[in-house]
Amino acid sequence: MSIAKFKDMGLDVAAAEAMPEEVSQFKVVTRRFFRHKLAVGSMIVLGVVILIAICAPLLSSFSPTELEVGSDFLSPGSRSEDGRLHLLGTDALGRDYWARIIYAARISLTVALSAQLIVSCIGIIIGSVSGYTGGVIDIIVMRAVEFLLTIPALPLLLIISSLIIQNQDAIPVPELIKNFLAKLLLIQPRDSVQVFLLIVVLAGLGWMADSRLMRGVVLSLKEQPFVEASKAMGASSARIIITHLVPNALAPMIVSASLGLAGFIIYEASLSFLGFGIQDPTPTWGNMLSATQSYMFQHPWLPLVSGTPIFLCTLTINFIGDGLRDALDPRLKL
Amino acid sequence: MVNYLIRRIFQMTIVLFFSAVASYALLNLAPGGPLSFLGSVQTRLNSEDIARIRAYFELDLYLPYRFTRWLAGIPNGPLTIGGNAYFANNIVGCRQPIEESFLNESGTYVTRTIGCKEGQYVTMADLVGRKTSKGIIRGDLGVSWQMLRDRPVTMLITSRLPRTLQLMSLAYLCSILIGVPIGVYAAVKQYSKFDYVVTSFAFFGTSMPTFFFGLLMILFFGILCKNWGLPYLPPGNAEAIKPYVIPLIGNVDPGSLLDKVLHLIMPVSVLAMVTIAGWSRFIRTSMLEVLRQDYVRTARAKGLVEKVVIAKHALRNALIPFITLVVFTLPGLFAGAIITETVFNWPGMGRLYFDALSRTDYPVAMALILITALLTVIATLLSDVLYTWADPRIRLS
Repeated sequence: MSIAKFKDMGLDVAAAEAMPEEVSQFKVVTRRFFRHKLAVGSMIVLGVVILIAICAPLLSSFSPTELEVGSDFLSPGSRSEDGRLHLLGTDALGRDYWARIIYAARISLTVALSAQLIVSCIGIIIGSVSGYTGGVIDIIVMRAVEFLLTIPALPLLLIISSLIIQNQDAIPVPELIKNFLAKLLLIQPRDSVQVFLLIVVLAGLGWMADSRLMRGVVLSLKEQPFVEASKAMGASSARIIITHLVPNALAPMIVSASLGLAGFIIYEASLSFLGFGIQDPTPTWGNMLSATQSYMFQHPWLPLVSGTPIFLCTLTINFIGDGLRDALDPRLKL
Repeated sequence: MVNYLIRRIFQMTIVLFFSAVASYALLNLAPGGPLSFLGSVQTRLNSEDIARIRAYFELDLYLPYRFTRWLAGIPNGPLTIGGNAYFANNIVGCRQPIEESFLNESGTYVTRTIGCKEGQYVTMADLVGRKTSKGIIRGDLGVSWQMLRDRPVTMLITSRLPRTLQLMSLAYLCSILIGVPIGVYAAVKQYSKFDYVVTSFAFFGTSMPTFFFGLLMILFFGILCKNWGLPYLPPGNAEAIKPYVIPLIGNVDPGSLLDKVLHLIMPVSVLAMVTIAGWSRFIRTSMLEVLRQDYVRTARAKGLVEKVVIAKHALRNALIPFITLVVFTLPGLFAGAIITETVFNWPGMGRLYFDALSRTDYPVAMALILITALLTVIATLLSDVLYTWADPRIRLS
């Protein structure tokens, strides 16, 4: 409230100035978050990884699929025939390892981020609708969720992913999405189909936990007086959900999304590692790590190079999620 | 309680039926499958051969009949009541479907079945004498298509199950023996150095993907140690094939106890580390919550020794939610660990599932998924029932 207004209202200006400064919720949260040293450090590390992924084409003169006959398994720091530096050496086919790692960052992070974004949206919509309206919709949705949760996650993911990736040519993918992903990830449109399908599979099997969480939050929120008040003022269900329930339920959803993101990075890497995800020549950290298995005895540094980014990302994201949880709601438990 | 159990078991049956339908539909509607190799050899096969191969995989029957035959072993012929055969002429399938390829809008050729050749229908009467499974609900999991052709899936499972049980039970045992004490101790000494170490270990454990951790262990204990001439661990499989020498330990014969133990160390520690990370964190949180309760303060106020307060009053209550985690190891004991078993080439159930999927041996994959789902459902019920036993405040209704 401005001081001019206080004057109009005939209030004591000096007293008003002495009142504690109004602090926005956002400021409180950021201040609490920045007190969490590990989370801030993780944020910086993750920021650097994302920056590298964005600037991938500027950071390497090699393309991730550029073959060089005869120069396979060059050691880190050696030079190619035309004198360019292989920062991390080359792989079994003579492709530059550093270029593949940073292009893989683009792909792995895009898959995890978009899967988590879709999952959060689905979770918010399904959870709030089923929690707020209750009744038959709630029963059907929650039974379906419970049913899907009885089937173990990884086997189901493997089976569906293997079926879909094996039949990727039979599944129609909109040209628009194909080309957009290909441009974004700097790969061929033919290969971007896999990326898109993997995102769909991950999101399609991951929305249950978030919907459940959202439903739980909405169930407790809907008994609050402010919802009753806005119902009394004649607000429609849609309006109450959008303007009151969703903003109030965002805190746990954000925390859950940050932790879920780490899970998606691991899932994508596991699928690609086992050979049921994105296939070579499209580089991802998972399939690069998988490829190093056969050459571990001769070239023991290769698994370290391709596995470290996965670990680094999941660790930093988990720390950030922890920091966010402490910042957004200290009592919150997930 | 009895009413509750009956209702739950009824619900469980429905859930299992739906998962059977879902997994069957998923694997049978997908293109590819056992006939995908036909495309490459089709020129050498006449239509009779193809019909025979289709009959072998039961692909000449319509999907609903295939499903009921897989589920319950029916129909296995016309219905016979008092010497009269009913439904003998009912059509249940087609030996040689007419297929037509046409160009669709996007410019690719699509093959579609548009009918059945005259006189090539399969009727109910033709099903008599066909080899059929007794149905999955009567415990017949069918025969494998690829991995052990024509042998029962049960045979594959029984040959792999002991290895997985061995691996998983050892891993879970280690996790309980290590995870619970460190979780409790970290909670009792909250904000101490030990607590700090445990919580950061838990963070690392949950963030570390098992495949990367497994590879790192192989790299270090299997390869580098061997190269440096130190005692090393054999990196794959459950037993060696020929005798080998380990520095400082000596000769190891394949199949000996030492050989088995050496092969177990790495996979067990990978699995245990991940589980310990999760469980110790869980126990710590639950213990912290209990330690704040009034009855703990009362116990302290009564003048009880701190040891008794923690062991008798706090720990027993903190372990109640832990029941869920322990009970849910049940499906894991059977299904094994897909990633860890693949990394260490462990001949167990997880590896079996992986192989079945990569070789499109769908009966095996389906059997494994269904049994795991069954065990998951049983574990859910078991944990609910155990809760009431452990905590009289909870009532089932």
